[in-house]
Amino acid sequence: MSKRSGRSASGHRSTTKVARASDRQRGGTTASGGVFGRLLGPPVPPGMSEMPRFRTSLAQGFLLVAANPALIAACFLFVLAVWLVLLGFGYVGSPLALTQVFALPPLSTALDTQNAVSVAGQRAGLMAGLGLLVVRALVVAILAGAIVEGFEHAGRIRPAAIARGLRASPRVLAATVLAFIALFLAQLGAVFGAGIATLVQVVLPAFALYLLGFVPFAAVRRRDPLPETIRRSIAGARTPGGRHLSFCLLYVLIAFLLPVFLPQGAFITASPSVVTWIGILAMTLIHLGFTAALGYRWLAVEASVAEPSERV
Amino acid sequence: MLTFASVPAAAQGGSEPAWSQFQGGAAHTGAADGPPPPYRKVWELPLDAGREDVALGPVVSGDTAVVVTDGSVVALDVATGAERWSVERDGEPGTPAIVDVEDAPAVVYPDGDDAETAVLVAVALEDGSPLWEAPLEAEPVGGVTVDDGRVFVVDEDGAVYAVEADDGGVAWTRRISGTVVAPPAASGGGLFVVAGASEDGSSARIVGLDAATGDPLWPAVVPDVASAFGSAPSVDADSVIVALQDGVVYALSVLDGSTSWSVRIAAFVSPLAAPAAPDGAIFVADRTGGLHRVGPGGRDWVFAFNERVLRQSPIVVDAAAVVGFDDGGVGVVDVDTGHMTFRTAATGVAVTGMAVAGDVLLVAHGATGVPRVVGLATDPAGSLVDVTSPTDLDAAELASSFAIAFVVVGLVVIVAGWLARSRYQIRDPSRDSIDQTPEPG
Repeated sequence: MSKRSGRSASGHRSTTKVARASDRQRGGTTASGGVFGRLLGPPVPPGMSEMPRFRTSLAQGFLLVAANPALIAACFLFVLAVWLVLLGFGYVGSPLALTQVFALPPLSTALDTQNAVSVAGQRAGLMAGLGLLVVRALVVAILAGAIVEGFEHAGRIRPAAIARGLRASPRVLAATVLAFIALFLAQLGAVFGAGIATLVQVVLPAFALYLLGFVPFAAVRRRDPLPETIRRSIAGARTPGGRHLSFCLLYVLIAFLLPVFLPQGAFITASPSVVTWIGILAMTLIHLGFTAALGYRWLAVEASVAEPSERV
Repeated sequence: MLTFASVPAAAQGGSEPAWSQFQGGAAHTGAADGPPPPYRKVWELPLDAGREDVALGPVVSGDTAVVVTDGSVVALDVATGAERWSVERDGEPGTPAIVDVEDAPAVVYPDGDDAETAVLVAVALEDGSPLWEAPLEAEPVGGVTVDDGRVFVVDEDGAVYAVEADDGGVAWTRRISGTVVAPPAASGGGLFVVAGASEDGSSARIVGLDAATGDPLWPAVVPDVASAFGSAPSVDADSVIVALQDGVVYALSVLDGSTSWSVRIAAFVSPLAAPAAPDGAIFVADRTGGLHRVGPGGRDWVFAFNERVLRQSPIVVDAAAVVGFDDGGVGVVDVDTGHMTFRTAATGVAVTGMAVAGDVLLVAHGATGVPRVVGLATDPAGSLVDVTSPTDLDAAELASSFAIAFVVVGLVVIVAGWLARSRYQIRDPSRDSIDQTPEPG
């Protein structure tokens, strides 16, 4: 890396980031007041933050995904496998269920539970949904392993990514369960009426993603205990000026809207048409791109997250 | 003492041929002998032109059919569709019924839109002349059920009325909690009502009453999983059939309300529609146009029409299960194979009711356009089709569709990625950070 200041080739502002970060972590910048101020971190212009800009994160995320045909093929085949499993369990419904197979938790866990309830009924479905959290955690952990490997090796994902993901999976499972609980809390928003409920159902998953979204990547990178992994995820999300909550809200909004645009998405069938499959796979790519962008953002801020011994 | 036996719909009511009330008879079995598909339109009678009313019914006795709209009760000739008479009415329409009043067939229908005007009205089937009126305490909802010389109706406050058919005298009333929107079902001395969730948020419930006294047969059945609403009820032999919001079709014992069996269909059924229950097989149409055949052994088949169904219950005409859609079309499925054999074109005005009258299938339309009644008869020049449900897996089609999409999306992404990588690098931002750590001092 030759540039010491200004924007890098990737569009990432890179002026002596670690120095500034350490400065802030040690109290160089005063946190803004109020609950949200303390949670979201002090105000810093986006360009001066360790956290990459949205477009940089997304460009790198989608670039990584596009550079790995094997990753794309595996994810596409996984989507097909999910559909076949659903049909095997007697699912009768539209392929809308497939648009969020690779969504980030808690959106994907919501889909898992919804599908389980659709197939098995409310009680058995909820129990099955709990079991599916394990499967979901494995998928997310392996995907996080692949993304971290990809960024570490200039886009090349080695088979070792799977082992790294599996090692991280217990901590990813814990985070997935926490996100699942957030999902349940989101359902309680219904008591405040339809408008508030919709708001809560968007904001709460986004907030869960904001706080826990870095856990899979942090778990892949380091073998910290769960509390430390979660602490680091939250600390990374709070990176000053990162607008990470906005990034998570953007993703959740897009994820909610994607199914609306699925061609023939509401048509109940066991054999979706070509255009429907194209839509499903394109939406799968969008989720993968956002997931990789999230991984990129973690790698960018990871070094600036204070170690436990550094905390005052 | 309740005695239950399966009663063919065609045998219920006073005169022949008879489709005397909602879903044919008091048990709402929705089954009758009638014209087999393919169908052709033989006549059409517009009702209340210019108003987008709901037309409920038809009900049939002999050669006369009756429909109820928001503003009128209309009698027509089933052979020609010619109007015979009409009388004005007011308030939300409810499915009428035909019952013998002093040995002559009469039409009973709900009238009035508030507590002061709410009445149950009986008029002569022959000419629409008034016979009696029974005052109600609130606006009647759903429609009228007749059984064993009595007329049953529910008002919007949850009061169930039993009215003597001969003179309109109120035999008993019983208040139940919850919101009722469909006519009760009656069979073997029992009266069964499905009430949706109350304003206090309680779950839907199924209520069984003694038709003679109004006393509860058993405590109201509330499902384990809370449901805001349930379908209209029907009775098959010794079971009350109802589909609840939890996506399950329940068969409850008429004797004690216990669950005899249940089948998950994972779909909502309109609270305005009832399952059809001809001799053991149960046919349920869900809101998305899925027609399910279920029974104690589970779901036999489902045919997904992918059309909305709000007001129309399925009916069974010999070996054909017929369902009407919100787009105005009618679909027919073979009861044995579950394959679609016939489907009419959409008319744009929702199907709101069907009835069988000899060789004519009567279809009422309304709610989304000018209401009308259409007579369908077997089309000797027509032909049947044999179409499997879209929900039946076609492995070859699935594989080919997926493969094409896989190649298209995969190629686009890989080419785009290749082009992008020729200009941009994939970076490890964590290494960027390490590289840029400032030198000490």
